[in-house]
Amino acid sequence: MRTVWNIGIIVSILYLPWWLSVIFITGACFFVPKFYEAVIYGILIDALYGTKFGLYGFSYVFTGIFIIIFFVSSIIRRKLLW
Amino acid sequence: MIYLKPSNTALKKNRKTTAIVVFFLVVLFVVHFFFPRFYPSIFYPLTSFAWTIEKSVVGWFPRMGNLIKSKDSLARENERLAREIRADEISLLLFDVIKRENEELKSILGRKIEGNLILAIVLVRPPVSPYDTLIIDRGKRDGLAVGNMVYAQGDVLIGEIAEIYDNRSKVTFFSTPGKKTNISFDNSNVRAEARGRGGGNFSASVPIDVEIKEGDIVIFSDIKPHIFGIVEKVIADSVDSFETILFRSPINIHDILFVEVKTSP
Repeated sequence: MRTVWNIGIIVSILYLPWWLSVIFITGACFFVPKFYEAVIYGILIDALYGTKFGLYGFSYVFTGIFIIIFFVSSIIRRKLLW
Repeated sequence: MIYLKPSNTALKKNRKTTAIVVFFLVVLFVVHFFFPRFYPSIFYPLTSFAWTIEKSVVGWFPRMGNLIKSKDSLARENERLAREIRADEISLLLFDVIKRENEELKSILGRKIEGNLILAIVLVRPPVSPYDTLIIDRGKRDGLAVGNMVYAQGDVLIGEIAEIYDNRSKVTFFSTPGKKTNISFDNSNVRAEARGRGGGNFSASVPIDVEIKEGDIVIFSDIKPHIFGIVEKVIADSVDSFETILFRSPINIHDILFVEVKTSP
């Protein structure tokens, strides 16, 4: 399951629109326990496509977004699963 | 209800694993923070191979489909012709600007346009790239340098080289959100600062008494002027002494296949 998510996400980062990658990584955070890879994918997207200018001067947008998604999904998972 | 209390050993092991993973992630981020070129220089050889394969595979399937479906081939032909018409329209827009500028240049002696244009294939473009950037297949080996201007469809200025690697470069669009560029308007010669709004869109503020209307050409002033955008909307408020000009690049950044990079002489 984890491997399938990872392959899907890597393919989406390389070939598909960025918002699909965000959807896939968010989905993985909710369905795969402790999906730490989300942060790695954030760093990868920032490194591959970002520049020092970033968006409005911030270069680590996706690392930041996926750290937040990771923590939020962990909290929600803990509340919902038993 | 009876719950099984997790053993202390399992809990400790779990925490240890988490701590190791978090430490690893922090190291990854710190490396990226202090050496932003490190990961791209490792990954670009791999990802470039993947992007090149994608170009041939994605191109192959539609070609096979076209043999079976005549409607699809017509649609493709239609799309190609539409793209050509768009390119021609842009060239026509440029014609007037060039004509006028040429007359002005004739009066200036000793000034010449320097630098060579290098054609590059676009490997990645928005929406795959979320940062309003392109990755092209030319780099340091081809004589490119950070800050080189990048053009599309001949003479439309779209961005500049932001990062450079051996045989790959990252191009940042002038429309990147928050990016500021000095521009002028063809009809009024007034200068302004264009602010990127993403996706080829810009905004600029000019004094309200400057006459700018929809369809006016926005140019990037250089020895040779380059088309930068076309005015789409003028928002004027009677209480404000400035009006907001919304304009966009004539190039659809999602469709760019090739670009030209102007190298330094």
